[in-house]
Amino acid sequence: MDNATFARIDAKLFHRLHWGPLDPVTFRLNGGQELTGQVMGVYRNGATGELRGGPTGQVLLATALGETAFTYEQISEIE
Amino acid sequence: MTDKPVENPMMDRLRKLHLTGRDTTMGNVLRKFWQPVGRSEELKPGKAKTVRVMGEDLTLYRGESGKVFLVGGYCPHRLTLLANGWVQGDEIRCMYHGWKFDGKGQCTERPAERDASQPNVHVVSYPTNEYAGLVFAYMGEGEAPEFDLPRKGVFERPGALQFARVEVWPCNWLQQVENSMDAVHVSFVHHWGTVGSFGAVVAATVPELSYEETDAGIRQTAVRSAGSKRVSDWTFPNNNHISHPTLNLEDPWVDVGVWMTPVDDESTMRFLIYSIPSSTPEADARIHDYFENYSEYDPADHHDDLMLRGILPDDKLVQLTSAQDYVAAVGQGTIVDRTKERLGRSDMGIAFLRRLYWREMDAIEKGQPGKEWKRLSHDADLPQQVKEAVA
Repeated sequence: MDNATFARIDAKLFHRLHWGPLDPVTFRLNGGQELTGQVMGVYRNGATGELRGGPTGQVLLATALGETAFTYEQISEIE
Repeated sequence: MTDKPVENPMMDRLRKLHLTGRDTTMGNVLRKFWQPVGRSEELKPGKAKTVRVMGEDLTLYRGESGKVFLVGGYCPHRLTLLANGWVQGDEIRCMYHGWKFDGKGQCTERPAERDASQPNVHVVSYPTNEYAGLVFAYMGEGEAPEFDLPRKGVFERPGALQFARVEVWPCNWLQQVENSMDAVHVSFVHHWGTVGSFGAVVAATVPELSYEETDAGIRQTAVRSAGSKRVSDWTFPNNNHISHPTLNLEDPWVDVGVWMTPVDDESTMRFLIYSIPSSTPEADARIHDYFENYSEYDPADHHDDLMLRGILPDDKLVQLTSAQDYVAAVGQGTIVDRTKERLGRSDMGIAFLRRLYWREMDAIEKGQPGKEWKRLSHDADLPQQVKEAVA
């Protein structure tokens, strides 16, 4: 994942969690899938530190159907 | 850096996050949990002291039976401090006119009234529980929850060396909680002035940060290199649990539990439990002597030296770590104005933490049950830290 795309998704997620409504968060994925739920985990490499390699990120989401995980690369939009 | 929105309704929730009075939403959140209010060892049988917790003035005393009680701070008669009275049995008698109250706050005697009945005279009282050298109280509505969430296996190890401390900082409790959910600070704050035992195991590089909500709170993982990974177990709503070296690298590591209990909105009691597994007699004696000699320290007593002159304590563990955190948190002011912050993506933990508070506050405001927080069930979820090579 390139740095600019990673930073865009990471910033959007931060903004949504901190400044957004308390309603469940909706993630639109690249394949057209839409997932809505409560963000239970955010796992990142390359967001803040000095690790080598390209940045990676993952979100753990608790939806009505259970927990699901997906990567930053899969995310097209966050609402 | 992320954009900062202009004034909007979301900012209102920032303005009430830190408020802990009984009539506030966060005050209600905190009161749903057992909170430490004193140290066991400073409360000998028959002794009483005044404590202020979340804006309420209270009397903490240990009855002659050894049981600890928490009741109202003032005698309802002429409103003088009850703590200056006499503990008699498990009751406390006011030093002004001798009114006496039991551990449930009920008046049992008014000597000069010549009236055996005690018509509806009482002070508040809260249930207490002693654990790991601290006195906890439940100050919420209804029946107290089981005393389970504050417990941790590492504070119940047989034979472990255990020490309880308290400091009182002149700043809002949430500034200290947020400091614990911000692992970046370790690379700077604990390298400020000098590097002690804690800072030495953490390189002055910015970590990669991950956050995950657990049954008990938030697991924070900070990775600085392949050999340096710190995991901390933050327990809702105001406790953090970390581990770090004790005095020497070969010593067993110390587990530190920190509770940040509001005195009121401008001051915070910082209760700490240090637990170190027993190892060799020599190491045990050395660690015991250290805590005996160095743990009675409150950075607030050295405020000007720390804040104005940059003079840090000579000690490299307990005192230094507290002093460095103190400079950062108290340096924000008594109550930081969060609407003026410029947060960045490295503050994801702050966002995670605040959102969790807002979620629970929202549930209270809507009259809905919040999350049923519970103690983590196994040690794998507890803090761990891979030792980094220390120069």
